[in-house]
Formats: sequence, structure tokens, C-alpha cells
Amino acid sequence: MKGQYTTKIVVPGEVIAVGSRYNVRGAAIVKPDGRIIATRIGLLRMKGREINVVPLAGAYIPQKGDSVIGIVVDYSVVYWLLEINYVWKARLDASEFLRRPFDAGKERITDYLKIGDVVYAKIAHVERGMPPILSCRDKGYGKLEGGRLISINPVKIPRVIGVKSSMLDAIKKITKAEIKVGANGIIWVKAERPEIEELVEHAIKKIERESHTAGLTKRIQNELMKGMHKIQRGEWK
Amino acid sequence: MKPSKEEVAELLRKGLRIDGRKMHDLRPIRMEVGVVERAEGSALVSMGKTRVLCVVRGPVECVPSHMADPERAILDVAYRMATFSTDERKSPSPSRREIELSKIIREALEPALLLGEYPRMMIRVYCLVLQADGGTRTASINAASLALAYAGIPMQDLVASVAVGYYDGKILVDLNAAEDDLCADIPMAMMPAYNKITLLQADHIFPIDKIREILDVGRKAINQIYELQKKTLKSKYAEIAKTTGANVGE
Amino acid sequence: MATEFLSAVRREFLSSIERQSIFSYLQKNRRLDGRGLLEMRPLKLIPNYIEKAEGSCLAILGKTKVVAGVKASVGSPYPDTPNQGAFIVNMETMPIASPSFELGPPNESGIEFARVVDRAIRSAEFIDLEKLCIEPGKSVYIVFIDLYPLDDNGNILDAAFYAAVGALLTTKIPKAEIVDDKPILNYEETTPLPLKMERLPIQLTYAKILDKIILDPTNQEELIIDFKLTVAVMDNNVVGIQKSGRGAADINDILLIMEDIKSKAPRIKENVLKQVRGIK
Repeated sequence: MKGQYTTKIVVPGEVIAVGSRYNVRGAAIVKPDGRIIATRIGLLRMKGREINVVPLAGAYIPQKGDSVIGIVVDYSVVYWLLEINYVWKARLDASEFLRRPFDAGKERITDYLKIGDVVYAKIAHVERGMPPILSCRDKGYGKLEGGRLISINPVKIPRVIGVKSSMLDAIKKITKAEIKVGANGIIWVKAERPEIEELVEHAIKKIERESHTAGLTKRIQNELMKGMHKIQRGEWK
Repeated sequence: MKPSKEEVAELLRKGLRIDGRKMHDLRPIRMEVGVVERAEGSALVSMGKTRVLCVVRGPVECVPSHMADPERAILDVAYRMATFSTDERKSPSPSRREIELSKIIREALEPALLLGEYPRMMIRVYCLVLQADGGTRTASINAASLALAYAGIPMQDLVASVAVGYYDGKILVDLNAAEDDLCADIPMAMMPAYNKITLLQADHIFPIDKIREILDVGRKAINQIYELQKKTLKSKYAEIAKTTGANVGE
Repeated sequence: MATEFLSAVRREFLSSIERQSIFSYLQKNRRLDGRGLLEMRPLKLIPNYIEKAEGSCLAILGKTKVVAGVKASVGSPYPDTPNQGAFIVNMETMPIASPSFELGPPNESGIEFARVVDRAIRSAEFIDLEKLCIEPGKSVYIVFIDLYPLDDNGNILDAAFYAAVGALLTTKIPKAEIVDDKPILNYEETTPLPLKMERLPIQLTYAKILDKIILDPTNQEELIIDFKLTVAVMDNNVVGIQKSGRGAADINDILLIMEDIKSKAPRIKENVLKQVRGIK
């Protein structure tokens, strides 16, 4: 979109605008008297008739289609329960993980995933107020091994990905690391050397801290390139 | 150490306060958010010598599960005083007063929260009074609002609160412990954006005809506190923007 | 906002990948936060944190925070020590510091921690209980030390210990006067709590993961340790030991820990006195 954006930090109760001609998205409500009010601490982006409040804080609420990273914390005969940083554990049926029917009579669920295993899965079904259902049927989903996990505030995940994946692609390009991003605030990184994984973690934490500032992608790229040079010269940490 | 009721009364009759404040002055207020790492939201608020730490956990599972509401989150508030917060050591087990205040504080905050976004879940708010010198429930509400906002719980407004007092025909604001012993103590809380009152209590005695003026004085003081709450939340983020030399926006 | 590990705010267990990360750092004698195996996090003490209390201190160990408040009152002495004052250490575990604390009376950890801190102070005879006698056999000072963990990022026990010691070092007790044959406390006149300064104890908590002993565990490390060993020393004496956790300790583990605390205690004692009393 061309033109000038107004951006500023807003807090709950703050009046953003008044009137019915606006198109409101994000953490804001329209009151009967026409006032548009922010409902969370967020970054207000306003241009012309478009108002969007991007929250800067808040819990992860799963949406259908989200990719998440979960940890197996319990199981039953035909499914596992995964911790996904939500109020309830998510259920992953054995058949959804194995991509084929599971024969409880012949197979044991723990042969495939054990307590503590890490899984990249999609939210297949979810209703507000109920445990979500996961699936690993799609390509690229399943058990994750090696590498490291990084946890950040889930509302910052879109910034880690970037517009049209620009930030994530930049990180992958410079470090050549394998990265899977969970909408639930968990990121998995696997790189050639643990130092590179540390560097990626360092960059992601920086994105989390500075997510609402300008010029971030450039700064992150610089940090990563400097870091990679240090690692190559054996000077990291 | 603690001023006597007579001292306070004598000064008030002359229109003066024990700590030198003007009748409608607030005590010095300090507010900080994000002070507890292991909580989704937290805030530390001091009003004069009264200091309260509030922690917000949520949304979490509703426990006990039979309490869960299929349409909205349940708000659970616990107000407790530390044993060393008062002149005499207070027993750690909750008193009837703490239980009443827990309910009052919950009801002061509930109208501001958009609980429909979290059905069957629970939002837990814990207020610990570290030091008590009057106005602990108002400081708790101020801290809880900050902690809830910091945790990203959807709210239609912040809630700000202050105790108004009445004595000898005079209206005063933000009572300390010595003053609330003596005066009619009228704690108030509001959602300033909607001019709505969410907490109102009173004890002792005051003329019915003074109510409008009392509410008006309270509202003005509450607005000052509200501005400070907003400033505290925004500056937490501005701090980060400054260190990178970048302006907010892209 | 920022959290170190998978929902560190809420979670009580680690994934296999996170476990492996901690293990591979340990093989290189490092920890996730960059510390050496036997390195303590920075300890910050803020004395007189609660003005109204007779004594108080906020202890910040890394990011773990515990506040201690001291209140004094008058009571009857214990029958077997008619000329000595008494002190009681209590810890309240409000769901402020950690999601695993519940509202209500302290859980078994809270009770254990209070008793361990009590034991160290009592065995070292740090408080001069004889000087807390008001009327022999009749009335004595009772000193309450109440501990409130505010933020659990690991090793609440040591943070609580230093908060308690810091609070005692700032405590001023009101003078006791006999009025109408009853002891009354005069808060206008106070004297410092009688302490035997040379008997100030120092406490450290160690833990074992794999075959490595670490000092001052974080809350993520606490999730995978075999056992913890808390030791309190005073001069060249041990004044308290507590082993906790499911695992079993090797004699060599214990010897290593004793050597380490012996070498570290003097400097920690200096640091505590400097921060609380400005003593160089």
C-alpha cells in the first residue's frame, strides 16, 4: 500500500478514532457510540480508513491450520497428548501421525512417539474452549530430532516469519539452518554447528525484543552475517 | 511512629493533612510492569507507603472444572497481605477481610475484561500486599489492571482506583492508614473511558448530599492515576525502541 | 515477555531436545546461560525493602526473587530455654513465584525450605538469643522471619536464605518496657537485633545432572537434576546439610561440594555484608 502509515503503541481503553467509515482489524472494538477502542497493548497501524491493532502481548489461541511444535506429555492406547503452550493439551491420533490406520491390537503407541518427543504438527480441528486436534499428514510434519528449541512470546511469531516470509528466509539463507516455526511461540532450529544454532537463537530473541521497531530485518541480517564470520574464524562466544 | 487519630483530626479540621499534602493530592505513586519473569503479567504499584505486587496467570484451565463457563472465562482473584505488611504481624492464613476484598477486587475488574474470548478458561489474579498504609485495595486494583494489560488479556479499558475520604465537611483523596481510621473511607474504581464506576464502598458516615461532589473528586483523581497507568505500559515498550535508535513503525 | 525455554512461564517439564541441549553444554562444562558448572548467578540484596517491618531484604539471585520480612513480638520463652528469645522461620508459597504453587498453606517445598533456612541460622547461633530475654523465665522477644518467593527462576532456597540473613542484618527491634507488670514494645526506640556477626552462615545449593555437579540451578535445570545438596557453613564448620531429590549421591560428589563451598564462602560473606551493611 502506498502512502503514509501512522503507527504508535496503544493500550486498552485508548480511543483510536470515531466514526463508522473505518475498516477495523486486530485488537480493537467498535462501541455503539462509534468510538474505536484498543483492547490490548499493541501496535496501531492506521492509514486512511484502515485500522489494525497488532497485539504485542497475549496467550496463544490455536486456529485451524496453524503449524505448531508440541511435546508429548501423555498418551493413551490410540493417541498422544501434546503440550502446545495452550490451556489444554492437544490430541494427536496415532493414525494422523503415521498417515495410515493404527492397529491397537498389533502395535504399541510408544513404539512411535515417547514422552518428551517433539513433534511438528498442524491444528486440524479446534473449537474455542476445547482441546485441539492435531495432524501430521502433510509433508514436512512429524517428529523433530536434534537441533534446539527456542521459546518466544507467540505474538512475535509473525515478525520472525516476516512479510512474505522475508525475515525467516533471510535467516535461513545466511545461516543455512533448518528452521521450523510454530505459531504457538516455539521454534526449532537445526544447523551444521551448535554455534550457528546459538546465533539463530540470539537473532530470534532480538527480533522478539525489538519486534515493534523499524529497520529490524536489516539489523538482523547484519547481526547474522557478523556472527557467521565470527563462527568461521572460531571467535564465537 | 503512627500518628494518633486526634493528631490527624486536628489537622484536618484546619484543612491540613498529616503528610503535608493538599486535600485533593495523591500520594507519590510508582508503577512498574513485568517484574516477575515466571508470570504472564505482573505489576508493582506503590501509593505512598502502600506497596502491592500483582501477578496474572492466564488463560489457564478452569479449576475446579465444574466452575467452567462455556461462554466466557472465569476471573479468579486472591488478595492477601504479607505477614510483615502491617504494624502487628499478620497471620498468614486468609482473614475474612482478605476474602471480602478478593471478591470486591474481582468485581471491580470484571466489567473491563472481555472474558468472552476465553470460554471455559480461567484468568487468575494474585495481589500480595507487601506493605500496608491505607488504600491497599485501590493499589491492588491499579496493579491488577496493569498486570492484566501486560499479560495481553483483552480489556475494553484499564481500571483505576482511589480512596476518597470525608471528614468534618472536607473531602480528601488517597487516604493513608491514619486517615482511613478516622474519615469516612470511600474506595472507588472506574473505567475512565466509559465514565463507569466498577467499585464503590463506604464506611463511617457522611451526608447524602455530598455524594455527587465525592464522586467528582474521586473521578478527577482516578483520571490522574489512569494517565500514569497508560504511561507505564507505553514506556515499557518505548524503552526498547530507544535502545535500538529506531522509531516505532515501519 | 521473553521466556528462556518452552513456555518457561507455565511449564514443568522438558522435551528430549531441550534435555539434549542441556546435556551437550554440560559435556563442554558449560551451562545454557553461559555460566561455568560451579558458578553462582549474581546475588543482589536490597536491604530495608519493607520499611514497616522491623527488618527486611529483597534477594535477587539471577532472576529468582525472594523477600524476607522480620517482625518482633513479645511472648513466653520455651520451658527448656527460659532465658532465651525465640525465632521462627516461615515460608509462604503463594502462586506468585511459580505456577506450581497453589493458594493455601505452604506446600511441602515451602515447609522444607523454611526449615532448612532455620536450621542454618540456628545451628550457627547467628542470632544472640540470650540477649533477646526481657524478663528471665517470663517474657522474651519472639522474632518472626517470613519468606515470600516472588519469582521462581530456580534455587528459591538459596535466595530465601540470603533474604533471611539480609533481613536479620537490617532488623531493629523495639525496646521492651515493663508497664503495669507487662512487657510493652516501644516502637519509638529501637536497637539493632543482637547478632553474633562472626557466626554469619553462608549457604549454597548444588545439584547433579549426568555426572556433573552444578552450583545454583535454574528452574529448567531443576527439572532434570538427579538430586540437590544444600550446604550451610560458618567459618570452617558445617552448620546444615540437606539432600533432596530422587537420585542417590556418590561420596565423591559430597566431597567435591564441600571443597567448593569452603573456597567460596568467605567471598560470599564479604559480598553479603557489603551489600546490606556497606561493610567493606
